Amino acid sequence: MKTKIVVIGIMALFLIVLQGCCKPSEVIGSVNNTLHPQETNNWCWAGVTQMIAQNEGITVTQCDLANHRFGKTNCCDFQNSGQSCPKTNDCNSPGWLELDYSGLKFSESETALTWDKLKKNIYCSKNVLGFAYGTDGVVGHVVAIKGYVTVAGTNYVVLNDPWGPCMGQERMITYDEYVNPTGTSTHWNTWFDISKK
Amino acid sequence: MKNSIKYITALALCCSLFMNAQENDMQKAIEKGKADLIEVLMKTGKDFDFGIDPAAVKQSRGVAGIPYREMDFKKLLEYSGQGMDAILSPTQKLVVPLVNGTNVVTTLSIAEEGKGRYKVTEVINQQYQNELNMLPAEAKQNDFKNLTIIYVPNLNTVVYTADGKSYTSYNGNSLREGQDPEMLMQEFKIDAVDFQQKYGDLIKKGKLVN
Repeated sequence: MKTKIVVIGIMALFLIVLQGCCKPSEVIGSVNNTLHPQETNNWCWAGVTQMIAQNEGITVTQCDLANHRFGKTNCCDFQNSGQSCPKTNDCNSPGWLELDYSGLKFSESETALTWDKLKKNIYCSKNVLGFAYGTDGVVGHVVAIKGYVTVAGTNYVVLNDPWGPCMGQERMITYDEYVNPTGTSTHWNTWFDISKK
Repeated sequence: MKNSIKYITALALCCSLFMNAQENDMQKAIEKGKADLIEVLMKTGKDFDFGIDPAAVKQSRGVAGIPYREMDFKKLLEYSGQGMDAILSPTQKLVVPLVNGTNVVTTLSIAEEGKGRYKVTEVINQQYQNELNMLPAEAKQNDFKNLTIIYVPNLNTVVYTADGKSYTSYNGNSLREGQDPEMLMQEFKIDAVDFQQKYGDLIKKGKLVN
């Protein structure tokens, strides 16, 4: 029994050391993550929660998240009969990520991650990150970060953006834009180091 | 009198040089964004699916940047017919369509980083690409030079304005048909007041996203 514990301990230690040694690619890193468009025009938070959870092997639906958040039971109803998207306007409200409810552990930061930390999260830990930005006093937006690329000295971040409703888009912004968005918007939150509870 | 003419000429020359330098810098940023995008599309095909053909980007040309401005939501709540322009932020960035003929292949965004210098902030945005392609030809005349992109926060919608007309997909409207901006502002105001009643207190308590 003692031997087993020692072996498991050594293996765990080895894995931790291995993880610490992981050197992310300087050029490109990506996580295979399916784009999930938001299912109402206010559900970016549900779409991003769904994408992050999926990356950790957990299946959640946006309307279940909405039912939970708004204390309702009808959020999976279709707005237009015969079309699964969009969902009912009765639940069409802004929100915030529901990672805890989805069975996930995570860290979060009001300041942007350093380039190195962002690369490690994607390349070494294969995490999909959440990134919220906006202007104080009005509703902001959240997207999933699924990759990075460096080209001609410029660092870019690849996003799975649940906007627009029922469409979504894969887009790419500079790392500088992630750290300090243009105009009145600021970086609000990054969710990282995500794993199953 | 002679001196005044000299000063005015020198001032005009300086202004002209500054404008040219700014134009050149803007052009450099656009070229940099386009070159980066082509390289990314060619190198990362296995990792990402942007749905854009690198050859189409190579053949495209960047046209004049479209000013991007945001509507002031507090002013929208109190809007009383002063005109849409009166409640907009200054230009925050320029959205640059890369076009092949009349087709927008994708868009870049560039922003001023001070003293007339520009930097690339975004190299792919399918929303602008799709919506710009849907706009009628009259809104895109002169290589999009008359167009402005306006984001309305909280109502989470984009309006394109050109030559006294507005184009939006808000509330089932069609991007293909120009509307009277004042009619649209009345619609926005009603919905903004409704939004404020529903979520105003929640937003004061904490951040929300949509």
